[in-house]
Amino acid sequence: MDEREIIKTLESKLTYLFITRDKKIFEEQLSLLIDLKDKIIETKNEFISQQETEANKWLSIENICLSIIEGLNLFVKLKENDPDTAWNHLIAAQNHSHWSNNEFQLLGTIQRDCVSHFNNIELVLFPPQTFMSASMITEKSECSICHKDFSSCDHIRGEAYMGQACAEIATKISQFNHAAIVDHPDDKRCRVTYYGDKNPPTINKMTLLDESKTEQE
Amino acid sequence: MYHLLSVKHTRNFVKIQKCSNIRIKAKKLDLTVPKAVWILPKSFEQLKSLDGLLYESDYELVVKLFRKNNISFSLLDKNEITYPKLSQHSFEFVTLPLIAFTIEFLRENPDIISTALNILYSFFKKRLHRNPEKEKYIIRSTVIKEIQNSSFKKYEYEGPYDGYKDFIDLIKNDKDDG
Repeated sequence: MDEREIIKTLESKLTYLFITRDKKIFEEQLSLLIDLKDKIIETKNEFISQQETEANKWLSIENICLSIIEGLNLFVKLKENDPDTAWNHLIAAQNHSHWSNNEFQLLGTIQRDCVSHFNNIELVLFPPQTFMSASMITEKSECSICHKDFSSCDHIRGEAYMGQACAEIATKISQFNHAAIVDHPDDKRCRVTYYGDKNPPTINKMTLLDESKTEQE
Repeated sequence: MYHLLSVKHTRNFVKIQKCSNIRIKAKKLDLTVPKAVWILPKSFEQLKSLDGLLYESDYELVVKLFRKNNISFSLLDKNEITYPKLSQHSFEFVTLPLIAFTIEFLRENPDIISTALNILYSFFKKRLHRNPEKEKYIIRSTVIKEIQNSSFKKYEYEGPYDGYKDFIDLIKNDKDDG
């Protein structure tokens, strides 16, 4: 697969990332992009264990493709009146595009365009959110790449190695320490979803609907 | 005393203060002070025992970067590299462990402070320079320097990654060794 050609194809998909497009169009594009993603992964796999830079470049392209897929899913969920799930797709789209933009610079401006488009969607289409951050005591964790103890290997969290992004997998959490309300959480999916004076709260923070009343009706 | 590093970043600051004797603390805890960069757990100076000690969430990052760049370092026990840590899931803060430089090690390696800390700065610079939200990343770092035998100075930094370079220069150029 040619890098230029694939980036051009991905760039052409940005035109679908608007709420006014029809749900059928989103679904058609999703199906096309899922096929494209498989081809990108095939190309990436050809470079794995041979050329690290190429493998990482294709991982970066894969992440841009995933961000557009998540963006399309976001609009599908908004059309289905499911803003909570739409929010999760938006955050996944932001995470994929941010990671790609930070990790490997591709041709053209597609990475920056995706980052700014998904950041703008958060501001324009969704109400401000209250984010949470959990803090815990981790006794043991392992590396997602080599599966060794995380402190003993040389892989750094968030960096790409031969077409794979390194993550830390906590394997032994001994204690929950605290939860904090923060402006910039590590994961924007950790947020206050309901509020109100009932226990548990029943007013949806996205829709403002009191879901206890909806259930009774 | 507080030093404002730059007017550009209103949130960054450096705090410099005298520090308690970590050699005495090490002796009380039955630890050997290494001839290497010493990576210490959270609030080491206040630690009463080794039970319940916690490293900062990003101590492994420092361990990995020092190992990769052949910086001689030691954690509490030179044979042990895995310790409990306080994992935090906030994008806002990168909390580095307490890093101590002893006078013997500094005499043998006069540039070690700037070499070691610049490795961390270069890492943040590489990771963040293309990130449009880089200003949201706040680095927290505490460095202890032995200035004479058993007299210690503590430098604390909290601010954006690009101010960390000024922090390194400030420690390097701090000639007030009394």
